[in-house]
Amino acid sequence: MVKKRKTTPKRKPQTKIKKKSLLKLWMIQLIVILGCLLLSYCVWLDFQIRKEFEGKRWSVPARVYAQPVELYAGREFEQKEIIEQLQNASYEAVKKLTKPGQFNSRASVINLYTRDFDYWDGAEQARKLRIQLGNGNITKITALDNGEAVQIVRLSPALIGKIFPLDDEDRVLIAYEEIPNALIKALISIEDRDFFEHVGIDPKGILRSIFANLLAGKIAQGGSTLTQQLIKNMFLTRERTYSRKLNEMIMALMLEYHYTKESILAAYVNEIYLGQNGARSIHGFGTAAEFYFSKPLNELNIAEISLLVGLVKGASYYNPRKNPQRALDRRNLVLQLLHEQEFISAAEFKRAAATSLGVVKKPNWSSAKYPAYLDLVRRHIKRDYRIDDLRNEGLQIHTTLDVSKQEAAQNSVKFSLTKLDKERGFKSGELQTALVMVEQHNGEVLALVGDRNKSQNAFNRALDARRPIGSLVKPAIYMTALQQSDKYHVLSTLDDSQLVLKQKNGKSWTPSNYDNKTHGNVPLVRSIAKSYNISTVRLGMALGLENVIQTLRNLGVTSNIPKLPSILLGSINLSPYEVTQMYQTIASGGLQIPLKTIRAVLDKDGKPLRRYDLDVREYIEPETAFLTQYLLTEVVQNGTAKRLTRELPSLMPLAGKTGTTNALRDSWFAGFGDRLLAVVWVGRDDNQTAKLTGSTGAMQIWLDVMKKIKPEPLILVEPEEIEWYEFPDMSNPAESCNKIKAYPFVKKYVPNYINCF
Amino acid sequence: MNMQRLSLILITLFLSACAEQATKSVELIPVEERNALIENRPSLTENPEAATQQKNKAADKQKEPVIVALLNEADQFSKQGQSEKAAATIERALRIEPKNALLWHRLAVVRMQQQQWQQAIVMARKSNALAANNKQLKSDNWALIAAAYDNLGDEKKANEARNKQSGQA
Repeated sequence: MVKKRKTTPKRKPQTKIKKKSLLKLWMIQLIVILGCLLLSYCVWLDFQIRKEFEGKRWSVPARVYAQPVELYAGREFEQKEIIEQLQNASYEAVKKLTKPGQFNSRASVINLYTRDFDYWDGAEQARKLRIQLGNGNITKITALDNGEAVQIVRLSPALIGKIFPLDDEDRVLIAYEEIPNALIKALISIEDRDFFEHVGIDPKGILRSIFANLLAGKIAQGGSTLTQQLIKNMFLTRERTYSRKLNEMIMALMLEYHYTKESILAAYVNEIYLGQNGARSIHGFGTAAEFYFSKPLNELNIAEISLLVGLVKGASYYNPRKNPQRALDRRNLVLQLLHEQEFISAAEFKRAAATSLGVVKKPNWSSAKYPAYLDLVRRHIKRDYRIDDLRNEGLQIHTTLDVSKQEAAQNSVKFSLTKLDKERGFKSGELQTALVMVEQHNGEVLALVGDRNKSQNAFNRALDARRPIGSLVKPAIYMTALQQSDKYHVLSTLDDSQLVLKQKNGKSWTPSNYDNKTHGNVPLVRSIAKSYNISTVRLGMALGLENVIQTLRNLGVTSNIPKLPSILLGSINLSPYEVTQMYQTIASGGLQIPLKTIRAVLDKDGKPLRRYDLDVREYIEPETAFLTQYLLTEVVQNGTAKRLTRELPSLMPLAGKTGTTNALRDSWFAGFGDRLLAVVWVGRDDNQTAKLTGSTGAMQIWLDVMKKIKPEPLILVEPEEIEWYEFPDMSNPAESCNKIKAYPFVKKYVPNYINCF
Repeated sequence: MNMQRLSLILITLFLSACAEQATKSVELIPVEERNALIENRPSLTENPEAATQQKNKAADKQKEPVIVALLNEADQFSKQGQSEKAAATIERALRIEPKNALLWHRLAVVRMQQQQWQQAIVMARKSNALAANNKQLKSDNWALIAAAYDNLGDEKKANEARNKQSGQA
């Protein structure tokens, strides 16, 4: 540079030289610029490739845990339930406790050797404990070594899945050590013979493929190394251009520079595309093994492994379900190569090549036992956690799943729907369902079912099926009324005579009741208990649609709600999950708490990364919330959900609401006890009639679940401003005036007398 | 049409003849009696709730030591300045007794320490709704709510809360 400056003034007279040196200068500059561009391009590529690779981290996925079972004196727990929980958490029954993770039990006593485990708020130490039981309760916990009383202990939680938090797909993940030897051998012999020698690209391989292609007169070999194929899969571009090929080569070199052969191969085994299940791509051999054979990868025989390896070249072209002959030929070609390379003997080859494909007809797979719940965990992770946190290897994710409740829910769904299919004359599998169960006081999701078949999670109805909610909307309308405590109380007179509403489009709307009758004057409590439509619409119109919509918002509904009278009968499309949020607010006494699945995330060493607080939002006036809860207990005591009192007499009182939509397309039930809320939907994916009302369909499932779970009865705590007064029993028309019943009121506004009808 | 209307009026008249005074006069019922009323409330003659409530009370008594232990643990965390761990511990206790008014109050206190005023207010109100006749706790909650509104610069609401607090005393 300095030189240049010096020479510049001298150049003036020497024009010839000037031209030449200028050209040279330009050339140098051009080269420097191009070099810089190329360099920064390479740096960028390097950044991309590392980001992608680090983000996926095939070696150690995040471990997802259910909520830990807490044991303490006073907890209602049968001995066999505790043993079940111990088994869920992989405790082993032994005679003598010698190491953590063991237990034994005799009458009213369980001895237990707990495991070390890290929680967000501290570590649980491994120790030997004695748990004494009596009258269905834990009565005492003592430490076996010093005989001291232990107040509370957490069992190490059940591992419910391994996931890559940044990855959308549900995969069966394989660590390098778990890769079957035959798979490595087959992959290398058919796809990349010099994998362990080359640096990411393989000039020898390219030459060999050109030669082979020339010999064959067509393209028979690709010449891409496994590393290049991996990159192709990671960046998902399928176009075949030279620039892409060049990129691929540069990136392959970089990948090989940064990572070991083992981690690249592990990535390959988990990442390569091997098929399609509807909208979902099947990536990786672990997932593919489940998808095609319903078996874990390490149980596949050599023929089955060869079939999967054969799919690498073209998962759709060689799809064994659609093109079995092609798949068979391809598989046998792989087998033959394995034989040629002396990995299998001639006899083995002959035997394997003679077997049928062995592919299961229907894909039936999931990497986890609870796919719908894990789906929600994934969505919450993405919503709430910093991407950088999630790149950490081997995260521990502590969730709110209650394994025994989830199991109870799944089993009930299966049992009830099989029964309902038959009863209603559907072919098996026609009816579908979704269920969300939460602890209403902290919003923790305890169980989630998104499909009647637990192993499938192609469509998570609990989150993604948005259906009209029918009468489940009604509590919001009555809540809006009860907010105006000077105007409305639980015995207010509503009008259920015929109603004709003129609408904006000039047409008129005549809402009708489910029984196609009108009921004249009805007390407010009976109107909701029996789910009368006309009186509800009239009430809603008097309150104003905008006020009803505001109440729905306060309850936690965020979806679009059209400002139309028909919303008063529930023509609002919501997912079961969103309905659950709405009822959570009611069931908790007016406190809206966003539903959550994650309590905390720890790094691989048990160091806390982030905790998910108990987060409270809207607070509806406690009196209003209380009265609304009361109304919902009347739905169960005297209304459309009365069957519960007969079927679950020992669990009363409970609160709930049934919902049914036009032509019996959707059957809904939302119900809660003291600390457990569950919302169930039943219907059909094609939106045809399910021939079920809220109480004959969804409530049936709810009932079956609760029979197993035995929720605590709802004991309403009335706020200061509420008091109970005796009035004529207005539950049913015939009984009016004869009996006396206590009803709750806001104490400033207790009516002096009531008309009974 | 006219006939219909006439019969409707007649029916209404007949029904209002049935109208009864509230059987108990509208005077304040003492708290103890009120509780007795609740137990009888949802109709069924067998009165299953009384048994349930009794059982619940016995169970709550048994749970007292664990709640106390967790609250002590939370205090320790608070003293060490680890308010988030204190909150986690109180939440753990709340999973055992979600309708324990004291626990909600204590969580509100932690949120105050963390300057999460809005959260503290809502939790203190939740505590109040559950506090039944615990006047001291209610008074503490209103004081906390007043302080939180002060911090939010909402003088009107702070004063309202202070009035309620003196109402409890």
